[in-house]
Amino acid sequence: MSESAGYPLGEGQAEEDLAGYLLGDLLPEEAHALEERLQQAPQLVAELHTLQETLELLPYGLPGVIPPATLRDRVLAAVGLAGAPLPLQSVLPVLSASRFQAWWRWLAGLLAVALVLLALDNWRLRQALQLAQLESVRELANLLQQPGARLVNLQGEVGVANLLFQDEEWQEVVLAATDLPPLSAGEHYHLWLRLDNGDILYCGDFLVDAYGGAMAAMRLPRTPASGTRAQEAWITAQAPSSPREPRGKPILMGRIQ
Amino acid sequence: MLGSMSDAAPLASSSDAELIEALQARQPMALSVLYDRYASLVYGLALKMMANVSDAEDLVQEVFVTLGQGASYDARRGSVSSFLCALTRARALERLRAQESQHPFWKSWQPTCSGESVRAAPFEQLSMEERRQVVRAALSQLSDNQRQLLELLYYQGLTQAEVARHLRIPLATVKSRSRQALCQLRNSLQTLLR
Repeated sequence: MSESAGYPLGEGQAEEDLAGYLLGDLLPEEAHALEERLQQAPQLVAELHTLQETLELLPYGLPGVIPPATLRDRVLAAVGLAGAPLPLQSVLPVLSASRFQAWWRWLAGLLAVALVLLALDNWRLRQALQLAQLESVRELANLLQQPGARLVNLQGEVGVANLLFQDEEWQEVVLAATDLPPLSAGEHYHLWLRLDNGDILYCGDFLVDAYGGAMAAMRLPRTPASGTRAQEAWITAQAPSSPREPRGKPILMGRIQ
Repeated sequence: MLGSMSDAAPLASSSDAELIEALQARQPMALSVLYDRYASLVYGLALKMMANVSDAEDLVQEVFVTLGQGASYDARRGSVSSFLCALTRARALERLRAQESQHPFWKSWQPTCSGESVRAAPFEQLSMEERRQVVRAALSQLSDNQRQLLELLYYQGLTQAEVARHLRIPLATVKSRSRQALCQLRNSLQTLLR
């Protein structure tokens, strides 16, 4: 089977034996015999390492999920590190209201589920679950809507983002994005909302980490007119400008139902 | 905060091996860099296996704290990435099932893994997104049956006999398909692993 496994004899069989050993399907006497061979054959040990490494690459096939920021704090606090800087420093205003922090914690857990559902593309289920995936998202969206929270999925050619906000307080939004393309020098990603009265609102801008991921809490710099509703959200990549206005083709877009 | 940032800044571009060395030299800030590098991978795996946000978060915390304590990572056994995945998976299975003896896979090979060092593989030079792309491409070359088998074995920790019962196919078929799947995956990725 393998052309480069490095065994003088029975390359394919040796590789399959090692795979069987790793997968736990050898009989005890077969496993014992192989362990004895491993003691005498460094190249077999190297091959075993490679197969082991291969197996441990499987999680790279899963959708990337951005952990909640609170988890990072928990981990670092547990090892005596508090306030370690984040890899991306949002240029957005910091939300300090305790009410929003509580809302954030509540949403963070659901957001992780949302990201899994929305990005669910793992191999076996990819085709079979397309419809089910949509149903799950809809159910989750319904769930989020119960206490007045809204979930909006933004999509484009590359990357995906989810926007969470509350109907009555939607000047505060939480954005989670993943797999966005790298920015050119000087550019930031910008989030925009189009209102039903035609106004376009700048929500905030953000940077992404090395993997195209970002999670940011934003407070709209300008309060929308009373009674207006947001119809559409989109993200552009552009240099910060004054006055704030969208430029270039949207990277991601989403309709707000 | 300024002090923290100045501690972390020189580490941000360090290799995984350098960060592990920094951890062993009692520079805990290296853990924050490793966390930022691999939390998404570990969290994705934890969510997949635990199917529960709260449990997944607890598991991620446990895994990174274990790494931060520097007790168990051995570079001779493979990359930091594979260590984190193996640790996450093992701890998830411990949580999901009481009888660890049902999962010979992993335990059995470890005593034999000592001796020569492992070189940094080309895979480790790729960005996280590039790694995801090459693994997904390799997985796409497997048949649906092969992928299903690996998933049941890896993520659910089923034994091959359990998989055979679950899928209602002969045990011999499970064994041959899963071995071939792993070997085929390894061949697809071998230029990045050596």
